[in-house]
Amino acid sequence: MTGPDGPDGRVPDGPSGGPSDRLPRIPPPRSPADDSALPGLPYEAPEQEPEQYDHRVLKSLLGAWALSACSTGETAAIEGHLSDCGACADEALRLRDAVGLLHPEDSLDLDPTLRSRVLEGCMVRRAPRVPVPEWAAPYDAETSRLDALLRDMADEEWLAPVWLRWFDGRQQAERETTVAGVIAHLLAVDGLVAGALGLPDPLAYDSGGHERGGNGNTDRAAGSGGAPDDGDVLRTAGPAERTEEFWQADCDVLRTSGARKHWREQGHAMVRTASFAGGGVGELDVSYGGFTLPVRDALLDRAFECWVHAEDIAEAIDYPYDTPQGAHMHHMVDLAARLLPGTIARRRRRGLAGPPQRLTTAGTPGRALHLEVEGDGGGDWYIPLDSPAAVVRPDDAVAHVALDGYEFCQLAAGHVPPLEAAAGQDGDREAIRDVLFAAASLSRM
Amino acid sequence: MANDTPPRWDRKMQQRLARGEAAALGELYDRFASLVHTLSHRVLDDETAADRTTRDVFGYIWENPHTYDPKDGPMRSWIAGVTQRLAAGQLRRTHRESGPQSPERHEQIEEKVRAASTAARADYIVTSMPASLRAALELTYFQRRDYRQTARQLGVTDDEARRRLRLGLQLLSSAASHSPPAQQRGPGSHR
Repeated sequence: MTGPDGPDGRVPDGPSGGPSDRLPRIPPPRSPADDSALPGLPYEAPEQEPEQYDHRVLKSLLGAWALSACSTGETAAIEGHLSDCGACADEALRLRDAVGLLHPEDSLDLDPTLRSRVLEGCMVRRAPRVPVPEWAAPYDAETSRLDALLRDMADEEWLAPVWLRWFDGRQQAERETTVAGVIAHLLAVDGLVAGALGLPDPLAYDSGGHERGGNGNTDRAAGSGGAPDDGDVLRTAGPAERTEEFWQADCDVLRTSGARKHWREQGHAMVRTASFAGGGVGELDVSYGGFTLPVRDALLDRAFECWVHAEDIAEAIDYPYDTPQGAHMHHMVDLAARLLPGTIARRRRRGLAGPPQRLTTAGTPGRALHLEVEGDGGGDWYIPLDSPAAVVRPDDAVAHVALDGYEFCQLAAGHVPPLEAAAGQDGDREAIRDVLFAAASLSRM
Repeated sequence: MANDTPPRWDRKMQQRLARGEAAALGELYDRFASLVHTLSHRVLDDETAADRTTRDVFGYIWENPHTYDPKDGPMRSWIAGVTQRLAAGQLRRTHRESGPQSPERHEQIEEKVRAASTAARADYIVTSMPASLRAALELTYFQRRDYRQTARQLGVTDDEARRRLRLGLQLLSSAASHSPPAQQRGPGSHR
């Protein structure tokens, strides 16, 4: 055979190649990492002319061969050639070994608790000058976990259908979207908190500003979060309205991973801003349309939503997903428990909950329900039943509900009908009913 | 595959770490934890030990952000280098502590360290090779396209796709050809 670059005419077809068996037989290349099917790319029939390959062409095919990316005819021709051509055989071996160095480096599933262990260890070694506030830590951790799930998703998985489920106050509700749509939803609703922190509203970039006609469109691209009347419509819109508007304004957002980067960058900016702003910022109001939460609770609410929707996504693509770490889950349950009295009162005003049994004025004792949440992150809460402002003590409990932390969170996410929440129940049935329905009513799209 | 960060990101990250911003460390972890853990695991072959090295690596970075010089290359390869060093140290320490060792055992340990540093070099090469080559490798290896499909998807000729695959693997194969560990210098290095 000729040297590496000289054309040498034809090579025998197939690996049975002639008398020259002096070179070691090269085993076929290893198969690629991913075994999944290829939607939309039909298998291409092998070329018809197996005898047309000269040395130059065969050499150019060595990379593709090492990666198992040639047609059958080409593969056979190369393997035949390798037993005759020392230079190509050497290179083939080298390239095939190089394939072994290709690793899906970042696809490793790390223990999700490792992150907080590592970060806490670091904070002990060197105290941070700008710490992440404790109330922002669950959001930081949950967004990081979801992002790790998204990192290795294939293009087609972004299109996987996801059912968002919640309890609308009277019954279960649902809305279909895609994995991509869920991330857009998170981006849009997180934007409420971002706005309160003085960061640009993500919807102001993407919605074309058609609802805010007179407000001077040119400034909007700069994300003028501080302008008093800028984006009033969106500012006062609740999570569902914002989401629907975002989904409608940009159809790509339902089909591509495009929102992920914005969602992630906004999340980083929120945690960072909360860190630099210091304690007071936690008390600023975030408007959710119908109600407000202080920033510290709103970020906790967003952490909870992030987890709930991460589970929706994991279910849609058939991937396991853990619960948050105990301390964070405790904060989430605590937020839900604190929101229950106000929710019961609102339901009562709408005729959806029974009337108060005792008329109480602010600060006076009233009836309570003992909510016992079991497991990691659980605890005991005494929920005032007659007025959000009532002061309650364990002695005031007229009913007792016990359930597992995960079950409680599923209830509060609106994923289980209130009456089916597998709860240990004891005492005043109407009180129990009111609390379970109020818990489910905390959910929204 | 490799997830590179632009030089500006690297510089800003270093400044934020130096300022003692905890949120920056979280972002750094999200970006590089799997790199650090994978490399550690390759050396130590043990989950708990790799977790511990991961903690040590981020602890070192958090305490010594100034030891990274952006002029020396991407932060990713600096972190890979720190990981290599700490993981190899951990491996050697574990073996010293487990009593006197035979020359064969010693050689096994060093072989492991060498294989792991080859892997770290390979990671660096993939990170710093031209994006066009990396994309071709990703499509064929991880998404299992054949080279014609790859060519169509990248909008290039079949010849060009073959060239990119071969060149990409040639660059990668240079990771295996020189064995001294320490700082990797790959073909994409600009210095």
